[in-house]
Amino acid sequence: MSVTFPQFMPWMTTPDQMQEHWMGFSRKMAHLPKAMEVARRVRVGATPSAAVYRLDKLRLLRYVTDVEPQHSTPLLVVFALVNRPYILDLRPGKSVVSHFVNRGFDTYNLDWGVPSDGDRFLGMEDYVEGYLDSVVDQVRSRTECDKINVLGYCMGGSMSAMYAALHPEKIKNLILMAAPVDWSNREYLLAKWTDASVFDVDKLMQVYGNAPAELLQGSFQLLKPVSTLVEKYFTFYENLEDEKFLEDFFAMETWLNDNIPVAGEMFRQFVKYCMQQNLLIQGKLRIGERIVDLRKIVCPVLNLTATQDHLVPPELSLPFNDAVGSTDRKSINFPAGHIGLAVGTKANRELWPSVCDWLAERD
Amino acid sequence: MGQYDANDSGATSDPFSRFWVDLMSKMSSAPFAPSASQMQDDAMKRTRQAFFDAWAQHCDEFLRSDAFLDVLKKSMDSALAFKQELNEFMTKALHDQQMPARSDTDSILVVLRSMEDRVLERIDRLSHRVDALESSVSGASPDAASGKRRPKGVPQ
Repeated sequence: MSVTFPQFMPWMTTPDQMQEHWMGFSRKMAHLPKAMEVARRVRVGATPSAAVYRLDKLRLLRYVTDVEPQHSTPLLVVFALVNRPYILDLRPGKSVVSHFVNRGFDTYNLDWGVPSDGDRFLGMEDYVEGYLDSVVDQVRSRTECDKINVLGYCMGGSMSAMYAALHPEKIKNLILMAAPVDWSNREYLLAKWTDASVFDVDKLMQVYGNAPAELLQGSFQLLKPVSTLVEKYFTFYENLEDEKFLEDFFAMETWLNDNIPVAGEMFRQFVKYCMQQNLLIQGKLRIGERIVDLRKIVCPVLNLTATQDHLVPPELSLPFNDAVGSTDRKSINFPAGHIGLAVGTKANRELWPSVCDWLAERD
Repeated sequence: MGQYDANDSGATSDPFSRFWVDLMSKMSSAPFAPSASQMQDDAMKRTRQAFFDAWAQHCDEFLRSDAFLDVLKKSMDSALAFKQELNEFMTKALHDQQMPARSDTDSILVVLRSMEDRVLERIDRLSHRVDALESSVSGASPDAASGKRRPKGVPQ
């Protein structure tokens, strides 16, 4: 039995394959102007929205829809301070918000705005007890509901948890999405980098004022350098002829590069008291004059985590369910990454419809 | 392929050698994993993926290492020291030209914020007094809810 050349040494490229690769490369290069056109016309945000309230730099967006309201309790989405909130409504088919809007929930999204140098002294109390409280009150008064549903993503989830503990009387259901609350696991990469022995957050804030967007973006990229700085571009090259892929790719890149700084004092307090000292889960975190006691959260809780999350691994979020006083609590550990939880095809097909069901049952 | 075992006494201790041996063994075995019919089409992709996986794994190991954390700390300390000197130089240069620097606007902001706190505390106290007066007139219990920490925004 004869063994042919490529079977014997499969890693070697045959002349036919070389020609095929060259043709493929030429086709992709010919498609490059089309890709640039897609990049130019890419739009983010799938669901129409209107700003219904402003306070300093924040805007409260309400999603506009023709769908008849089917639920009495409105939903407020609270995003992190480190990026823009439109990741939750990135594109048609990749929009968390559209699931709720299409199911008849009156949905609001909190856009914190971009802090300037003058906002460097805004701390946790300003954000949680000031801004978030004002926005919750605004939604309550607009919809004439005593209690509202809150969905917090990432750092916005941690802030939502703090708020729910301080104002349980205003929250009907709480959904956390990849929200860190327990930083006791010091093996997690970001915990190692932000350890007090390595990272002097006081000095950083003293020198820079706000946490620079570039520093945050660079740190997040460095968590998975091969994937974010190399592999991604190979995937891009391979799919250069796929217009749908390009639209999603450029929409995601737009969001990833649309970084904003975080107000200095808020960043300092979050890193120091939450990430370094882990006070939140221990019930020792103080906001203003009050202690944040998670046991005071008695509303139904849904805790969503992503198995492949490198930014907020599930072990940072899951202890939340044991720390709250609620009896109706559930967690879903979904096979996705940190961003995939919001924009992943599988998450949009399987996870979010079930989250809508969960919320509808508790309306 | 098995993962590198740091406790294996037979393994080399040099990080680059470990990376290289692991990488090469993964890459060489990757094309043979599935059936022979798929080999030609997928061999390159699987080899490349194996390369990326090995690279990512060793990057992760490096990013957790004491050596990297030490470099991270030293580079941040140096960058912050440089930025601080730059800030001080800029402040001095601006002051020499009788212009305000960032430290001056910061001072104003601090004054404004403490003034805001004092005004809000005063309003809170007045609000409680008004509540108490109203309740004494109407006979109802005073609303214990405290005032807002920050002023209300603008409904659109």
